[in-house]
Amino acid sequence: MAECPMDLINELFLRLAATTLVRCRAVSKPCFSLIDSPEFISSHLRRRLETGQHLMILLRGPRLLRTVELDSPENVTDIPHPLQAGGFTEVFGSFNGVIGLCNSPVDIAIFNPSTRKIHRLPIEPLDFPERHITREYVFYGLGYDSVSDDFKVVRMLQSKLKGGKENFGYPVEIKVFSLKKNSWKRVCLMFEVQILFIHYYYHLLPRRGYGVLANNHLHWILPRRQGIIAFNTIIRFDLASDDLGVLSFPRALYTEDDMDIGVLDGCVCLMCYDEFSHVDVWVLKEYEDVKSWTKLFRVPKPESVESVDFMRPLIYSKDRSKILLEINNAKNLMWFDLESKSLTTVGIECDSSFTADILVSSLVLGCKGDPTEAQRRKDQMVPKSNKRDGFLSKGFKLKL
Amino acid sequence: MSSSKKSSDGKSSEIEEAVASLTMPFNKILLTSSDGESFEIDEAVARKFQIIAHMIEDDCAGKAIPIDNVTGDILSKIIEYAKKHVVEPDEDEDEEAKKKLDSWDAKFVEKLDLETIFKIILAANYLNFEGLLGFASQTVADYIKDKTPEEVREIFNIENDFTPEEEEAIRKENAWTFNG
Repeated sequence: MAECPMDLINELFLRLAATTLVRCRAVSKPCFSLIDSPEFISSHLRRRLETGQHLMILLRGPRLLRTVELDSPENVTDIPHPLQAGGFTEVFGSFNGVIGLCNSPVDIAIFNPSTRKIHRLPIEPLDFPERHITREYVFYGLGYDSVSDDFKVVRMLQSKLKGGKENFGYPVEIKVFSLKKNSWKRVCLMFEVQILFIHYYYHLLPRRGYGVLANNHLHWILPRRQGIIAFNTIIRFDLASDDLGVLSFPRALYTEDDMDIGVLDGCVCLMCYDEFSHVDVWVLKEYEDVKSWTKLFRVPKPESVESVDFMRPLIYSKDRSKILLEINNAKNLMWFDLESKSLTTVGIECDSSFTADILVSSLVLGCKGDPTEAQRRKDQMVPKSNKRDGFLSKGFKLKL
Repeated sequence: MSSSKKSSDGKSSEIEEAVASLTMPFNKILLTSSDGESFEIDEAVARKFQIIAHMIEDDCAGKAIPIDNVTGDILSKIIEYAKKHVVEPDEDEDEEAKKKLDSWDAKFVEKLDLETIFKIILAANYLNFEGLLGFASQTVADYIKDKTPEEVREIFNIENDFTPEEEEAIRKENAWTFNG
């Protein structure tokens, strides 16, 4: 048979999952150049987004990451935590195949689970001493700015000690990292936003500190607290202008307790809990039109759980008749049928310590392995002092 | 207008062809492969090939159209597929029909060897037959998704132009996918 023409190979490669393409780099020089080319990487991503093919559920467990193919849940791949530090690595966002990982505010990375390419962010020191902040008060966000075609990471923290003199109230620090520049930048707050932080100190429940990406903005809820903070606020970070502002939402929800924010099909949505009974989901249909907030559907509490403390919609089914929901944790991943209002569990192999995100199969960040990465991983495993001490210190590593 | 579904894949002489093109009913098109095989098909089927649909729109489709890049055996397979897919069943409205068609598609491609499928992909690309191009490409993509680089080279007849050192370097870079 004559050699296969390259444009036929191109068309076939565009249909493959990213993990397969990593292997195909070793086929020949033309294949290698093709797969590493920025044009192919964008075409491949575009094809994945258009067809919805090779979508995965990314499960974050305490000791590993696990990917499960949405269309064939029996295809499971385990990935050891690339930021393994003996502690709990968090996943704070997923976009176009890239996820945000953090162990602490100074140990952050972005990672592509399909290509295993990791980009560690340069360490950006905190304004406040570490003892003045705790995990509950750090906001993270993984964003993508479509204007500059750049991945960004936002880190926001508040000191629990009121600052004296100039910094009256609870000081807040916001910094944004740009992948293209590979550097951090401080974000200066407008007064109208600064005052949200000055008097109030926000206590975030687990996973509520992760920014939600929609319309080129990252969103977080600054939650109300009975007797202390009257109203919920939604703040939004504009990834193009690097500004922090506020998003309007229905007044009826200003005093909702434990309201959550999410994104469904590119639209911001709010989850309002009646923990033993149901969850209402509101959706902002037109981003700049506050009147387009609509209560879209109500999910009854499934019988298999005692209460619903956390619910996130992940994705519509291909025929848009169902929505995949994570209820409390990844053990309860369920398809919610919009018409019959019934819930069907997806048989996912994990326990209640796992959380879920949707992951696109892409080559974003490229496939070039980092030869120093393997060495660094080896170095991390070797204890600093003699072996016995090392064994003890690993288990007692204090985490922020 | 009733359309007869029989395909004529016997060879015609020049005179017979000329007569046929004069007396053929309006909704029939004659395709001739590069090696002289002729196929009489309904216009609706011929329109699945965008290249021919455009010719019909532009009114420059004679009754007999030569397909110079495709041999008879491949063209007949393509026509067979096109006939089955003249009307695509709506997934929502007629799930039964869609399932039946998918099953037919699977059997259709099962009987073909890889070389034939490649030729079909090239021909479908030339004829601009989206449906078959997509289906055949996906079939091949599914086939190679778990294959090693060596197997992929063999399937596509691609030369390994890496030096052993270069290949080793790439395998080291992405060691996690090459080991085990």
